[in-house]
Amino acid sequence: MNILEHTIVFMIAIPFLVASLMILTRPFPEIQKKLNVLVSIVLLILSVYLFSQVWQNGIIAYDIGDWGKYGIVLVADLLSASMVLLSSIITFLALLFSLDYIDDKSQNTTYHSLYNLLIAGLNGTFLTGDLFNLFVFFEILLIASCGLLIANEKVEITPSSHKMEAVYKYLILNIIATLFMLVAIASLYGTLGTLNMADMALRIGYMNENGTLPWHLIPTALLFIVVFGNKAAIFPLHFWLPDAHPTAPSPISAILSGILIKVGAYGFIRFYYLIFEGNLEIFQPIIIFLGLATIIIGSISAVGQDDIKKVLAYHSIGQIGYVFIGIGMGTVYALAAALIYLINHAISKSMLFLVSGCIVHKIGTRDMRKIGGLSSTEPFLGLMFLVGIMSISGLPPTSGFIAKFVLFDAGISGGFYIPILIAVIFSLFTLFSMFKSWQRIFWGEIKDNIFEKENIHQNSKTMLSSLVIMTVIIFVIGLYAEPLIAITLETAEQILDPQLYIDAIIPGEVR
Amino acid sequence: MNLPVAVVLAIFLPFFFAILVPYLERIVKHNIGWFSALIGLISFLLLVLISPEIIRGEVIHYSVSWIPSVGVDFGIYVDGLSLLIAFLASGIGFLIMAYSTEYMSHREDLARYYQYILLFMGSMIGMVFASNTIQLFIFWELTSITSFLLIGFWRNKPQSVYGAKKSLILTAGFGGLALLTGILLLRAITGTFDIPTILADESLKVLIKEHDLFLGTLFLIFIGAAAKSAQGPFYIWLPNAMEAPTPVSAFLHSATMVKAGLYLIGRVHPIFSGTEAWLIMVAGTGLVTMVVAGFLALRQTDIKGLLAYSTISQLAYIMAMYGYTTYQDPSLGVVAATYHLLNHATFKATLFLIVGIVAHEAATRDIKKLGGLRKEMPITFVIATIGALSMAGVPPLNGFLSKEMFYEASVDIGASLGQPYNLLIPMIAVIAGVLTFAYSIKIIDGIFLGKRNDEHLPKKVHDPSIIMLGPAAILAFIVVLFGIFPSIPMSFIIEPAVSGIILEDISIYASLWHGFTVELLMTVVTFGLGIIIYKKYDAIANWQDEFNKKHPTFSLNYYYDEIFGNATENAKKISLKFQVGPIRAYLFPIVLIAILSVLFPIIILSVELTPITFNFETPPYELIVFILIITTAVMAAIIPSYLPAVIAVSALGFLIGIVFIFLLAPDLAITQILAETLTTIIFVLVISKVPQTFKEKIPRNILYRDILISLTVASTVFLIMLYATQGIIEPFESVSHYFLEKSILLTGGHNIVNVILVDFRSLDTLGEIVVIFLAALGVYNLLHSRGERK
Repeated sequence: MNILEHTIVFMIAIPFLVASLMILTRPFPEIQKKLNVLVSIVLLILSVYLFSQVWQNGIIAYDIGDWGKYGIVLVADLLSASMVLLSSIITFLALLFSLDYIDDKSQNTTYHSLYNLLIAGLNGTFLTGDLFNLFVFFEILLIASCGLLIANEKVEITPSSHKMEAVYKYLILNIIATLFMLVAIASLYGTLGTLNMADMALRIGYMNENGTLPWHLIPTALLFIVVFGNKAAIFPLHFWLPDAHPTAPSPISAILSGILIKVGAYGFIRFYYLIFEGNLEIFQPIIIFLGLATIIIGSISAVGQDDIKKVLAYHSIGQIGYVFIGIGMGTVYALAAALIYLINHAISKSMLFLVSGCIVHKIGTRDMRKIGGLSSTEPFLGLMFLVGIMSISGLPPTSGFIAKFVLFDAGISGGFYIPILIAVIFSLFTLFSMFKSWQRIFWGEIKDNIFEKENIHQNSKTMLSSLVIMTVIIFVIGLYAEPLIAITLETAEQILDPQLYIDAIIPGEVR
Repeated sequence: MNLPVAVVLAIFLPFFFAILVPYLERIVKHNIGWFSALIGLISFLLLVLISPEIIRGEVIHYSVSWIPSVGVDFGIYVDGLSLLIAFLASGIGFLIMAYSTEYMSHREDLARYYQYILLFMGSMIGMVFASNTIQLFIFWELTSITSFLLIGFWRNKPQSVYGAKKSLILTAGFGGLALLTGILLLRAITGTFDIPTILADESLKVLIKEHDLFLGTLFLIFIGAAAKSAQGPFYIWLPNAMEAPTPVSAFLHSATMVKAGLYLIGRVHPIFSGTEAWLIMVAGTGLVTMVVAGFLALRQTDIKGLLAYSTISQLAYIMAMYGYTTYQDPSLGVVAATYHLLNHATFKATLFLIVGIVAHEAATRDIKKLGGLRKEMPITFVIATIGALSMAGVPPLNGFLSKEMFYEASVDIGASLGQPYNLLIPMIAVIAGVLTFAYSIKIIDGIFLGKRNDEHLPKKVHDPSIIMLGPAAILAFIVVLFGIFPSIPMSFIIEPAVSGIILEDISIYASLWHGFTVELLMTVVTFGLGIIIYKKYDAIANWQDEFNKKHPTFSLNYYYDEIFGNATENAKKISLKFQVGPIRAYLFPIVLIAILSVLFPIIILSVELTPITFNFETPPYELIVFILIITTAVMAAIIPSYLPAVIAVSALGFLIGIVFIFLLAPDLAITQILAETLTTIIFVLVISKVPQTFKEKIPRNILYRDILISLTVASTVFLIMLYATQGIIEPFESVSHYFLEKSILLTGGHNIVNVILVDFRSLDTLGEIVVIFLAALGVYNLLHSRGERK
């Protein structure tokens, strides 16, 4: 039997196992680091393999314990496989960055263990085909990210009290949102008698056809906005993010902004487009509306920040809004555009957080009022930051341009003129605040005494190498977008045909 | 050589070497300027190579598939119009880089300077040769970005930072986004991004003009062009762009980049022109801008500032002429516009180079501090006079000819529009001409004539070396040549360019003397009035200064600064309105959405509530437990000190355990009671360390509000759960039936809860174990890694 058949479950099992291993290897910090990098590479390779399998052979379902739809099923369709691949890339690069950036003591206690559990949580979230299991993985994600958020950087930049406050908000707001998830799952289970998402879709599809869909399933479905919206940090559920993302150590900020908030977007797609496919006309306008509100609040707030990482954090809110209007528009092209936007943001924003990590590492402050003229001493970081902000602002020849272009094109060709108009107008704010921040950091007079601090550290080659890799990805997508667009179009078509998903898990049943 | 290959090389050689420049600079040191100029020259020669084909009236169109999924190709489309701009970009680029080798001090960051210029040059050439709109847009934005970087070349100067940001916001941001949206609308109408396809297809052009989106499309594309060419309200970025090194201003902000907008107008001319909207937008904006900018130019004391306003005004001529070409003779305005585009590039670049020379030698650009330099800088003086007189429209220079054509076209369009335009438009044209004449004379007079301003000028001022004079002299020579022999540019450059716009072959006759015409009369009037205005020059400038002091809000810059200058402060206020701090406020939207998710379907979607059967048959002992549950819940909420409140909460937990017993689930009851015991113990241990009573008193209104919210959320959840417990909808059945039937058979387990936990849904259990593990790790991390730090 081919061991690679179990790739799906390896994506979760390996990080689980390694997490415990990381506790045992604590006396050997160097081995621990190398081991974790190795595991990350293995997971990256496996996720590429998984993706290629799904690409060639269609959706793969994996029964845990062979109970079929009665137990828990892991499913890799193009959407989840590409999300897993994306998260493997981001977590690998952020890990590389961590090695010389995170305080050794933190690394040596629990960092690597928590890191692996976060990866397991991400992969589990994307791969599970069971709604309650999704809830469990959400919990893992939440607690693991809280643990990582309070890890120490080598530079003492954020006081522990700030971190604790941020974690507290993050934790409380997310736990309350998950409480509603529990209520909503209970409601679905009470009415549908199943937790398997494919089975749910099948049953709701049947009820929609026969007009027997009980009314309370619509409020139940709407309750999931609280859950996924909170994960995705859309307005007005974003309030935890501007505290949590900037206070986290930069590689963790990169993961939080890069991939963790995308879990919410993934949830929206999976939940509404699979399970409530027949009622989409109710949800789509709501999603567009929330997306636009998120764009407006995020982009305006970002302009008013003096903290580099806060600017980036607010932009994450604004940018996730663009993903949501793509999800809400719901054509094949629009969904593909939303995914491209999501992927672009994951890479560009992670990269910007890592660059700001380099700045912080060197300068010891996040306050742009105290930084200036860095271009003369740090031209490389200036260039990297410029590439990142060009991509976030949607300027060519970066991946961000492709994302903005396809999203607007999808909106206009779908006739969504007003949402696109608003999105276009607020893109200007994004461009303005991004370039303004860049100018504040890298142009102007060099502020005295920034380099006099005791705490300055040189940016190591490993740290910079992860930046370079991300830059290469940004340009490759920007200059040759065809493969990505083709893949996402295929993915969107698969999303819009839930029967494919259902067939893979419950063969032979037609709704 | 294969012609498309030559074009592609002309585009990408500058890009390729731009990347290499920093490395080459280490080898060739400050000679990097000559190296870069060579690249410009090669690009220019490559274009010369393909020009015979274009002059013959052919076009080069070649494309390869690039992003086929969304219908975007990578292609080149070379016609007379694009070749004209590309010649300017590479030719003037070469001259500028040669000039810069002397102008830029060796202490400057030369690698960065030439890198940006080469990137710009490549982008500009790439932009004009793009065969589809998306590709055009990509290069278009690249020119804006490189312009941003060049304006901010001296990046520690606050004015550079300001000017760079302003240009980026207005050109790449405002204009760029408008253009992109316009391009996408055009594609929504036509179904293609390909420019030649649209140009060649008459039925498509009719379709566009009749489409509902026509006006929006035209408007957005026009905004893009106007922002780039500093027309209409967007002009405000160009004066601030003068913070760039002077050769850059000469190259980007007078000769090439600002022509990109005009190029675009020329490119979409066959698509949109012939409509009223086109005339009003393009010609209207041009006419207003040329007068306003010409008037504002009089106030400038910095010669570069003066040239900036004059550029805006001159570009407006071209814009207006492209707008004219609607009625009787479509080619008249296009010919005049295209010719003036070429002429402006030559004489304005000359003047900028002269300003650079003057500033380099006399160490000032302030017209009040200059004067009387004709004897010390004779060659410079001659070149400057040629440039300025050409701008003023004095024969026999090329500016005279295109000015005449401008008048002719203005009379023509006015006549075709009838009253009152037949007088109004020629009058506006003459006023613009008068203003141009006045400030052109000011440049010569202010710098070179009159008395030497010994107070401000250095003791010794002299002509610069041939390296700096050469490029200016070459351009001035072209100015004279094209003026005396207008048939040279006409047949080799203008005819192909115009036929690229009007899409048919054309032959233009032009000569220096063309008889006593209305235009000639207008020119004479212009000179006469110009001299009168020039006498009042200082009075007008002073009046403008006074006016500005009295009415500081009567300016576009004021509003720009209000919006973008104070943006950080204003945005901070807005963001603080939302980001208030206390967690209680953040919980509100969560519960609000929960409430709305029930109300929304009922009210907005008017979903019918399905009937429901209630079951009130509860034994009395159960009823007691339920009453106790409610009591403890209320107590937990109202008791004003921590410890009793915690006890009430745990009592609630135990009572729920009892409910599980009623429901015949002993395992659950045991689990619940154990968990409750443990949490109570931990809770009490922690709570005993903090003060026992609430310090803050909650105000009444907040209290009532919170009670209302809590009750609404509770009823929401209650309502949903009430319906959710009505049983599985037919014909489906719950998976729990499967568990009941198969648990012994498949797993051998008799306790179904255990079987579910460790068999059917074991991954959930594993996950929950991991959560506990994680919590432990988190706490350990908190205690361990934090203890020994200061």
